[in-house]
Amino acid sequence: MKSTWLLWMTTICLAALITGISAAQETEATTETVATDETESPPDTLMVVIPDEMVFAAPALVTTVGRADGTIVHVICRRAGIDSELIEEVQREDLDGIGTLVVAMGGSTKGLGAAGVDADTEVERGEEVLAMASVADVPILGVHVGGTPRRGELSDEFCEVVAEAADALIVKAGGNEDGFFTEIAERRDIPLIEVGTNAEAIEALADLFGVAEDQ
Amino acid sequence: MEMERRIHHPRLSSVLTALGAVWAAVAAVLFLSAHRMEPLVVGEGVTSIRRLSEWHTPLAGTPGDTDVYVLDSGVEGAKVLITFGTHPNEVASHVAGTLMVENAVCREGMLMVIVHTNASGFTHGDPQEAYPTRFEIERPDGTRRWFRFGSRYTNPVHQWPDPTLHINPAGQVLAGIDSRNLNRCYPGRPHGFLTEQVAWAVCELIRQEDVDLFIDIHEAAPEYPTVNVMIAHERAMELASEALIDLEMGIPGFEINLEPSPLNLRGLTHREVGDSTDAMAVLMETANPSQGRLKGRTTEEQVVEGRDSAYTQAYQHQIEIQARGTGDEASRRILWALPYDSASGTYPLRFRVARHLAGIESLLNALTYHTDRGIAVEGIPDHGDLITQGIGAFLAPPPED
Ligand SMILES: [Zn+2]
Repeated sequence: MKSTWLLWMTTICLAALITGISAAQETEATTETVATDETESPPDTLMVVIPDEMVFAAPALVTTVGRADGTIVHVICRRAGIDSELIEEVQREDLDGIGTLVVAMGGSTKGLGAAGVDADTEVERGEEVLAMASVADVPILGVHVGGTPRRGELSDEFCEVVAEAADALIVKAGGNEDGFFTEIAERRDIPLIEVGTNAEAIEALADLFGVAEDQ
Repeated sequence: MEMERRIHHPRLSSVLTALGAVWAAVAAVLFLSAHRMEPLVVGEGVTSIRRLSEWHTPLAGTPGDTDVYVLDSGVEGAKVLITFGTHPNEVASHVAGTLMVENAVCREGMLMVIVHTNASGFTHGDPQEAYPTRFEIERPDGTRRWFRFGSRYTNPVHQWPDPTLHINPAGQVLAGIDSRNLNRCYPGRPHGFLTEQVAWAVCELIRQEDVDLFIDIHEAAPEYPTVNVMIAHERAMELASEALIDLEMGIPGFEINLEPSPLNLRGLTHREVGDSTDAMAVLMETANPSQGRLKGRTTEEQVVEGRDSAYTQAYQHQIEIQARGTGDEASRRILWALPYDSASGTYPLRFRVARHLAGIESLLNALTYHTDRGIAVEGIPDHGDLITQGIGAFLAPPPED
């Protein structure tokens, strides 16, 4: 009895061992590593001269089209010393007394999910908000701080809607490597401020709103 | 006749039996050795070590119980809980946790750290992944520290069988195996599966200790869209935004995105802890090639150096596609997630651990100036130092066995 049991154990252990060995050898990739010499350095910052008359007024209403980065842009505005408020779903009356509508551009599937809306509905809603602002004569400033992850199929639709309606754009260089925003800004003849970092975005916002340096 | 023939080979039978016994013994030793926990050297900042079961007593004596390292400054302030090792195959998480316990000292408020949050998951590996059971990190003096490479799931020896479908405590229907996935079991159930009880205990700790901020540390496959991110509950969005801006301002070239916790993705810490406790909840992810579906064999080099020929090639390929201007969204994502060390096309563990620790430090700082409850933690290894000096430089000498 005992030896039968042990023989079974031998078989099982051997089977397990063979399976283990073959699994370990399973998926060695056959490709060779190609090392690259080029190191990626942050893109050079390109500052565009803003016309003197182009000054955006506070208070700012911060919102998003695409449900991404609203809070970050709001915090950036606050750090730039701009009196601002974040409202995700802007209604007509929210625009009363507002100096500038600051719109965070880019899409977030998680953000859309959190809001329970799909991309098409969000584009429609965004277009309505932008139209309300222009009827109410509230200048629109489009801000893109999300870089590469906030570009692509989902984001571009939102970015385009905002950039086509904005009076000026602030864009982090990483999100404009293909010149997407440059093309729209040049065609529409609106200023585009390309920044390398959030620190520069804060600076650019302070400049646009005419906030004193020491703030 | 048969019987007679067998009787003619008693020696062969004995040899095979002995061989079987040896194999069984070796296998048993190997399997049981997986239950030995990686060593951790308690740093001077740790003021007490408690057990998770103190906040949910039925967990005592089970493989779900785990150490809670308390770093109490004795000075009134904010309370923060950080969980590492929710998924023990996401190695940057528990290595970062180890560095916290061995180096951090709290000067204001209280920090609580769980390094092996799903302790059971550290005792086995994922089937068919051929993961190593452990890996080593060398210290500058040449001595080595070893760490576990565990499983995403609770060990089935500790929780079995899986239900056909797992209706998690938040009410979402998931695959049966997710009943052993700690980050699908929040906010937990006091009488549920072992994994749900672990989640429940973590939430009880947060509630009973009035934790202000809860941070959960993870990794994901490089091709997964949600890497290099913080995911925050809505009550933590402002805090996370402040931390993210500080991070990008403080460390040149540091890029990280912020995502809101979706309402419809249930059972995860950033949603459930935020909803069922008063704490602000944030989760952080880095990219780990050992977890990806493109990976080759998981060797120690892949784990520690983050070098994987398939991922390096995918990266080069994406750069070429991007340069031709034909890149789609998926390839952009791979470029984004891909190597921290773009020169060599690798994702070294020290880069990922450095990211997590920098993220944690930034969140702690933001908590201090963003709320009226502050926390001051010193000794967290610096981002730049970790990258240049390596993880080993911040690990204590290996303890005697
Ligand atoms: Zn995870």
